[in-house]
Amino acid sequence: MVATAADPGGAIALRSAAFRPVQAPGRWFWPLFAALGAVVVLAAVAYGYQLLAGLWVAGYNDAAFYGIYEANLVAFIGVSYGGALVSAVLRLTNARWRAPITRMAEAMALVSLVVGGSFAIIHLGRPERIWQLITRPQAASPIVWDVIAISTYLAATLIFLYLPLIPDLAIARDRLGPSASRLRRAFYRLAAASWSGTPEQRQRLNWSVGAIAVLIIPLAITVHSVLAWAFSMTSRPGWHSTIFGPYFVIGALYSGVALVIVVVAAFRKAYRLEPYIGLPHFVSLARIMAVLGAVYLYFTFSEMLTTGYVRTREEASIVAVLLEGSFAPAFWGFLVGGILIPIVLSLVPAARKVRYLVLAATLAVAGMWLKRLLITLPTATAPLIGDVWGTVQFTWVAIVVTLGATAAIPLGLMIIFRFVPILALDEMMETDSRDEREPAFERSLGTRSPP
Amino acid sequence: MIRRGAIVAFLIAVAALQLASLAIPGNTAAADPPARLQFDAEQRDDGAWMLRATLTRAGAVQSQETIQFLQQVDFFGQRWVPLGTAVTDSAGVASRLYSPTSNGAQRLIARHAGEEGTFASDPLDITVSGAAPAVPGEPPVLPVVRAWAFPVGAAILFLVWLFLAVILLRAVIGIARPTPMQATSSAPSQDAALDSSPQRNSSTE
Repeated sequence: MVATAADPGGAIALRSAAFRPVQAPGRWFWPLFAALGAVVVLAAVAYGYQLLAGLWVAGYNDAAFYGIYEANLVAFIGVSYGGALVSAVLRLTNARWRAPITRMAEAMALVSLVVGGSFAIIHLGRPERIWQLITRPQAASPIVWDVIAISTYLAATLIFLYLPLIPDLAIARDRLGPSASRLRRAFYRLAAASWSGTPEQRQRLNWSVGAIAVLIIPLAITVHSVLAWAFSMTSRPGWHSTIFGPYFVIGALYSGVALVIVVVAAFRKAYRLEPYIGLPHFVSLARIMAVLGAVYLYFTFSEMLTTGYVRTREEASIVAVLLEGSFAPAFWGFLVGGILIPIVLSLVPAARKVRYLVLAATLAVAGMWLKRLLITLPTATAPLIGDVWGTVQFTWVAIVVTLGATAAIPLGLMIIFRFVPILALDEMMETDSRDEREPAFERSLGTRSPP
Repeated sequence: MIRRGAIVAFLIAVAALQLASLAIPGNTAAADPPARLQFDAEQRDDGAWMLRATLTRAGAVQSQETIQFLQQVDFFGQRWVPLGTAVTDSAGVASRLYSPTSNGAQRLIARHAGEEGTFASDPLDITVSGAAPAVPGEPPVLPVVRAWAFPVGAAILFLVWLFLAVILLRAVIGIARPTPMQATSSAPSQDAALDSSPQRNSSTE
């Protein structure tokens, strides 16, 4: 129980929990920070070597022109959209159990977008020419669309994270006092934007948060569709598909919700947030994940059925390598391990424990990364001259850069939560006070948070 | 007389031995031709080409040997791109169907990695017409799309950025602007609100 005689409402405990990463992150924090930082630095060194030596050190060659970096680009940006959309949809549907997890989902959206967006540069053979995308853009090029879409979405994600933070930053400004450094206090003072919680301020903030939540949904869908169109606007077999836009969006949502589960579970454990984030949060998220997984399964079936049934000359070889050729183990592994098992674990009552749901989410994230490789590699290695397939090599450079990007997500979140509360304090208080006013309504919904 | 006859007989014997050595398979004496790939191609009615490479070693045909066919290309630098492989039959012929994906002059070779090391045939130049592209060609953009896509896209993009700016500025400026109520409220109001937060329980699993 969080409530005590001295803190009957549990408010002090809640504030203490929300500011735990800011004030007392724990003994494990710096060793883990150093370890993750070392992996990121190693990845930067590997990328530096790639810059000097050329893309071939990452396993690229003339017969395998796309590889692990493009899969990373889609996967990391995908989870970002998923995190933002989950938070936005839960806000708009007024799902009251959302409050303890929205901050983590929004921060995850921002960090994974930055990491994923960096692969748009990492996968370039001549990254020093990227400025020409701005100075000499080709409006018909999907790559230009991608750059515009990702930068627009980055701005929206920043605003989406920042606006609900304002009241909490004001709490930090007012409560942390001299315990915070001067720089930190200046940051809170500036970022809190003179928030004092007046009805006018709250009204304006609520309007803006609602508006950005509305805007970010079509924006995320559009932006991930644009990313899909970078593939499907080519006439390459395996990529030239009319359903790639929604297919990518659903995949992004599925993997994004899965990563939210993993992130929430990790930070809940690390910062002892169990009193605020309970099993019902995970069960609700897992149900959403299962539904999205089922929809993704349907899209995959539809895609394979239509291309495999007609078997045009161009598509037949792609379908064959996926279903029974060299990519078949990965494809069936993704289908079983990345979709079916997570769905079963998410829905079976016997598996309704946090660790099983986290396992399901981890499998879903890993499976969806594999799926992005399966979207990228078969087409990229399919022969255009003769019938000799290209070979992709997973070199140490590509693997280290990928591991570095993966490590950058928890590292980025740890850095963000060193400065801002990990729980949406203001939102949780507002939700609780509303719950008190509408107990019958809440009971009827069964969504009171936490259980 | 006998001595002269012996010398002639010796010379004849040496010549006979020389001739006999030429007939022994695998012998790579200087007069022997080494392993050799003869390469030719024939266009079929459907536009595809039948590539044929015949492998001989010391004049004898070689079966069950793998021959690789390659095409010279000059994108990303001039190099040889593999078209595929075939195995020689009992007549020493490796044949493979080649469906060109681009028209014009092409230079092909056959290559074999054997006990003599890797060696290739003489290049074979063919002229391709009526080739089917490997991927469907991209059609020209429809005029209506060309005319409207960019302005409409740019307008939507402008509206999105404008809306983002309005959302942010409305919140930040609206909050930062002092109001009469703000003058009387301050940090303790936050704390009061915080402290009135209802009790939470800790059940998790």
